[in-house]
Amino acid sequence: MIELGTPRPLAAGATTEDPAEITASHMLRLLNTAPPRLAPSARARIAARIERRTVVVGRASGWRLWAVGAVGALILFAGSAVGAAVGVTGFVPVRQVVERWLGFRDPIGAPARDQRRGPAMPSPSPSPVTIEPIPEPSPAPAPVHGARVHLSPKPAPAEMPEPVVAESRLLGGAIEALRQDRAPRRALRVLDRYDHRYPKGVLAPEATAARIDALLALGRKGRALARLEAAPLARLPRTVEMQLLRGELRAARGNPAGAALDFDAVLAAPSATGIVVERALYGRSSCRSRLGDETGARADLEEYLRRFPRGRFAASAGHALSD
Amino acid sequence: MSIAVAMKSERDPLLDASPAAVDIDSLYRTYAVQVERWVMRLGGPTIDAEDVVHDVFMVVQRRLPEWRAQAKVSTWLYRITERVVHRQRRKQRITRWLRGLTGDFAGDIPTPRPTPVEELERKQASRTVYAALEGVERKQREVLVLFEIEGLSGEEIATLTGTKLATVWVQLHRARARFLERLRAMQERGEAS
Repeated sequence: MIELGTPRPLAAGATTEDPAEITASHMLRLLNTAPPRLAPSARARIAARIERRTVVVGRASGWRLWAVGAVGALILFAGSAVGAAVGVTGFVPVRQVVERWLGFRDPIGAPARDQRRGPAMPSPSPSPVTIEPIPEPSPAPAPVHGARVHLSPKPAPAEMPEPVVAESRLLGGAIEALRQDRAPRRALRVLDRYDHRYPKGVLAPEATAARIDALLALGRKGRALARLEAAPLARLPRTVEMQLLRGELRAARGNPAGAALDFDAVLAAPSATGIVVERALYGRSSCRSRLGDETGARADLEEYLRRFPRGRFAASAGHALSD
Repeated sequence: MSIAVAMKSERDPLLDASPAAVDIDSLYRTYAVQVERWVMRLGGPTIDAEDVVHDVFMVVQRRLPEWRAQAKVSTWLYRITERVVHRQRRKQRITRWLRGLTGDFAGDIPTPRPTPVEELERKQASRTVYAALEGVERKQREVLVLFEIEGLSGEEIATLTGTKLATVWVQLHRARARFLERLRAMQERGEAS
């Protein structure tokens, strides 16, 4: 066997005149000096997410869950195919049992059987849920905002077709899980069902917005940004707020150029006021600074301090200007 | 204190604990910082460390009933971490390929304060190093990261990865050659200076 001995770390210095080795040595030394750490807030979010999972899931191993899911899917598929072929609906109880076992419970109090039948089944009661956009978003980039859920019984318009009633009920369940129960993971499961049942639903933009909120509530910023990048912003509810969020997430992910475009659009929007403008101005100053436009960054910070002298970023802005 | 130092000076904190006494809370309290650091070192600047650390502990929670204290907890955790990071990097590569992106940069929401030169330089170094590491085979890359960036000794790497010391040195030797070759190519293209 060849004895290679204990090698010397590259960071300790290059042993040859090879430019690549010299560069590698310098760069590795830089990396060695700064051990990476997550922000305390990120740690707190992880701990909270783990704690929630402890209660919800139990300790089944991964492959078992996958196996159960695969068998369940097979049963549902076979059941639906045979049922459709012979014109019977006797497989619905099987699906209910599997869904209940896997934890796909509808979160609202309407009769479960009707909700699980999907859009083709008639609904015996009018929709108890309406979703109203709130024009002013909440200050923090936290996801729990933007839509209000009324749970009091309210008759659906007579002309509303039944599938829309069922669709809004399912989406309402997701939003209720998100905002009232503070259960974003459950909201995501309901949204998965919604997407499966209504891939081209009339409320699809609202469902996308709710999904983004749920992902952010779980701290999954990368996935939320991916959704925002993929969705046509103009079709989403709370368009300006969604664009602001996308800008902030892009900035956090090291895309200051893309983020600056979003902040520009937000600041140009006539409906943007108050906290939206405050966040967009601060965000744009950050991006301009990172892009090397110090004049623009200073102008934004000065504008920020002029308009929001007691804003939440006022201290940072003042500090940045004094540098 | 670096992990390398911690590993040299301390025993595995839960080494003597009975499997029944080890739960997800105690594991998270004891090892979260270590796992976080492995994730960020192995994953590089483009990894969503928060999501990945969470995913690691989800796997730990699921597998906890199977753990019988036959291995050191830190070794067991490291293996899970490495697999989760590897899966995440594979997903990232596919996503980048699908979107036609050349890269992504991690970091928290930045302050508008001008970036200090050292910090900027460190970030650039991190991006260049991890970009060069993209072309290195998985096991070799792992050894190079643990030795060159994390500062672990060959013995520590062998324990952590469950391989022989000689294998570690061979992998490190090959990883360095491939890494420098990639860096050289990047320098020729003007992507690294």
